[in-house]
Amino acid sequence: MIPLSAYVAVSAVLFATGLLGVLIRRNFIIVLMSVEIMLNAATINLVAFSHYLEVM
Amino acid sequence: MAFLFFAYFAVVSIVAGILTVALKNPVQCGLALLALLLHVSGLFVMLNAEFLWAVQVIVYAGAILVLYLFVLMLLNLKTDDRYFHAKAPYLLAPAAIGLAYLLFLLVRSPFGGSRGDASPAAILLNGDAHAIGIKMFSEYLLQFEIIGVFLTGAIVGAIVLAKTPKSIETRRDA
Repeated sequence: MIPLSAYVAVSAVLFATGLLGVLIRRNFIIVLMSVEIMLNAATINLVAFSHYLEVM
Repeated sequence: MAFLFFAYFAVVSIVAGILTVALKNPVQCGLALLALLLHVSGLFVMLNAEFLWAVQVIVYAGAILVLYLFVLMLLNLKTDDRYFHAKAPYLLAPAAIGLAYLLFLLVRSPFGGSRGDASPAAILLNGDAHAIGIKMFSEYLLQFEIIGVFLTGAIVGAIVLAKTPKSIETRRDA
């Protein structure tokens, strides 16, 4: 059984990567791609908390 | 076994995310983003979210990423020598502090919140795609139709914007 914190940690790392990309890249399209990374990180969080709601 | 799959999906998605931010060629960035999206969809399968898996593959990998690659290849962007902002090193310390604060809030936050009325057993009976469809076309039908009208308006607007207007001279000739 994978703990919830593992999913939250993956999501936090992905979110940080996307945030870094938004801050430091100059190409506008790649800034949009970094926003997509942040959206995916948030979605992982939502799905993981929804799945583990019964266990807690 | 499940842990092996989780480790694979997690590690590959993190590496692909870092590559998306760090690679120089924009098309390679797009392909790294494709790898990220597919492995995140693998994480969704491990969390029993099959509907979200299908949406992730069809909408993200199939539509949004193709749109990005299409725009990249249409604009034919050259790789910059200075592809980071010049002040990027100065941003690292504030970013680290902000991330530490974010993690601090994350650890502190209570996990309670509002819950829907459908029990997990009822959702698992027919699958989550079935449950979403029933909800969307009964209770939220009006919102669904409003979104449809908005999207139609967006498509019409895109067509109007994409038609380049003729100049006055050519119109006078015709």
